Amino acid sequence: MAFTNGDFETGDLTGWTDESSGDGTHAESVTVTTGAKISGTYGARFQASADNGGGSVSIAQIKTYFTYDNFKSLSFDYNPASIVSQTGAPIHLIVYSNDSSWSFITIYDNVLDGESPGVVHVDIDLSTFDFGTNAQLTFLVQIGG
Amino acid sequence: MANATADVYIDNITLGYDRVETSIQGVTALALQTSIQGVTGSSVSTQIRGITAINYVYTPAGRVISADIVDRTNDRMASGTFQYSRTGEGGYYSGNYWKHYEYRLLDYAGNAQPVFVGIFPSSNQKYAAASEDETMMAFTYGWYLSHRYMGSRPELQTLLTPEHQAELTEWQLEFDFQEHYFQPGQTVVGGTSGATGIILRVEYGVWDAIVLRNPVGTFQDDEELLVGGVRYAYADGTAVDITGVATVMTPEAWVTALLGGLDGYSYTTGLRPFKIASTSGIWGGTKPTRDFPFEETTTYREAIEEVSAYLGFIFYERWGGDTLASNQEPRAYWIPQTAIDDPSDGLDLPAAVTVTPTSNSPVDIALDQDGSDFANLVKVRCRGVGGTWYHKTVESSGVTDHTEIPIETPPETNKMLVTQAEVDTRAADVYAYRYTQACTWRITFLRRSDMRRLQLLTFSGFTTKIPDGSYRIIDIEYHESNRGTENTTVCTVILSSAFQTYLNYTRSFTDGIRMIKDAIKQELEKQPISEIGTVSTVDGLGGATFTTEKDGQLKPGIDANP
Repeated sequence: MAFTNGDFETGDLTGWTDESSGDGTHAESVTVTTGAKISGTYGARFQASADNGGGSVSIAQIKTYFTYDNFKSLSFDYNPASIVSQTGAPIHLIVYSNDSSWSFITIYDNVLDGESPGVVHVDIDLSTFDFGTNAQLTFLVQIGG
Repeated sequence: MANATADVYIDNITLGYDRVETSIQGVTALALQTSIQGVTGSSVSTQIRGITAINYVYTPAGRVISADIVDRTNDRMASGTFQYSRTGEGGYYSGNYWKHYEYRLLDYAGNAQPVFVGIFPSSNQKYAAASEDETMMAFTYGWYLSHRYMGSRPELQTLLTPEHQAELTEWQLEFDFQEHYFQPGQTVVGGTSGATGIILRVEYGVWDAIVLRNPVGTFQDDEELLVGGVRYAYADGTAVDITGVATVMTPEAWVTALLGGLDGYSYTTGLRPFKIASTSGIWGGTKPTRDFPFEETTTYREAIEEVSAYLGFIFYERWGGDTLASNQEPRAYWIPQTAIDDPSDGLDLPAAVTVTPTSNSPVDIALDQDGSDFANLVKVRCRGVGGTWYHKTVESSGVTDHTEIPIETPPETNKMLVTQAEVDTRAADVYAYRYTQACTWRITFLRRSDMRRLQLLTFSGFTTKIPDGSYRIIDIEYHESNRGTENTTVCTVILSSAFQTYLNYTRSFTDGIRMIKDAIKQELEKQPISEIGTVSTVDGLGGATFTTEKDGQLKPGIDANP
């Protein structure tokens, strides 16, 4: 593990910055709970909600900085425990590095309402990622946009 | 009340040093080779595009019945034909398709020399009860350069002069409510504004956006974004110029990028940009800068060859490793033709070998003089930068005094030349090659798997069989048969003094209108993108639809006379 608390076993968001944002009406948050664990004791829970019929965007997002050391792969597990999209608004799980827009990756796109595929393991080839000198990774769950 | 919610758990986020396999062909095993011992060695491993671990080593232990490897200067890749003693060792059954393959052959000193590093695209299995075998055809990694097209890299599809590069702009247009995925190279049309632009890249994130090259017109907020008449998304704001200060791309940077760059070559072409020489002093120096616009269907290899020919460079594919026995890395060289033998900037070829009847002696020398290559009348022309055409005809004295029947070369319109002096030199070179030196020699050696294409050989003492002098290997073949008991290397050589002419001569310069096409295309690319079609409907408010002539699709447009 190349950065702090990637498994959230500290029981909180140590090493991560919560940057969740939305329309100010609905809740969006990232919390560390035992219920969100996929292995170990703790996991991160991303919750977003929006009245997307009005076109609002909701983002639950955390970011971390780390020392870049020629990494070639990124892996993680996720579990979409509950997905509801009554208006068909797209819900994304996105990982991106820095502000280099070309290295955005959409991992989970257009989740069907009520669909729950269970735990999914993801491996990402980072060869094309441009981390630069101040490497950072952001995970976000987004509704709309 | 929220009508969309997401509750997602994430855990076990880790970074690693191994690249993740991304092949769509289902190859998940990743491999390198260990050293190969023995008289004959070959190894198969997973194609190099997704190496993360060593997990498979293959030595046929004498199951290779024969191997025939051919590496020719005029071929775009080397090839090898390997016959295995029974099925299951080759392709179909073992799943060895597309895997990285190395073949080693013993030289006279007992070193297992890697004579082939490539991939298996196919095999040919033959069943017989007593002699079942399988023949596999392999190609070096240059194969990929011939199967990748310039249209896949819109940002590299043209190599432009620095002045024209400065005219390129990039505009970022955010979009939302996406219904289809945009792809680089697509033309986007604003459903209301009629503005157009070619997608350079697509960016997904908190704000999704497309980056357009030199868009024409002004996109409007919230208008439909159409591709081929189909709504892909809606504009979210207007396009913003993000051109900034563009870095001028040099030919060497362009070649490097085409190969996939220093970081991405392994999953782009498989060829590491190992020695890509600077064109400083040549590009814009001895050779004027010019534009190279390529078609979408032009292969990477064709594009590189065209630029190479203009600059006098050579593209060379080889391989290397820490040791002879270690895993061999496919490597690309792109250097001036004049630097082939340079000890530091050259092709890293083995040292010249002096061949005499008593030292390094071949077992066979065959003169290869093809009458069809002979010509006594050569015509070359070119068009100068200012538009003036220059011509040169060289003919034998026999043609002049009517004692010989003229045998002509096809008139050559050489787009690489720009002056009368260059035309004169070119015509003299072609004439010299076609009239007096239309011959090569095929030299057969035993156990010389250490020799490489373009290596120099010095012949001495063979009198009329082959004149004394320095020769360069233009083609090389490695043959092994009878399970390794027969091991020969066949070199086709040409006088090294004629090699330059050989390189130039063997290229095609007969597309006389290409230069004019280039100029026309450059002008067209400066114009707004327009389509021809038949108007289907008009709404009286400035909008219209039309059926395109190109592909018959119904598209929105602007009524020029509402």
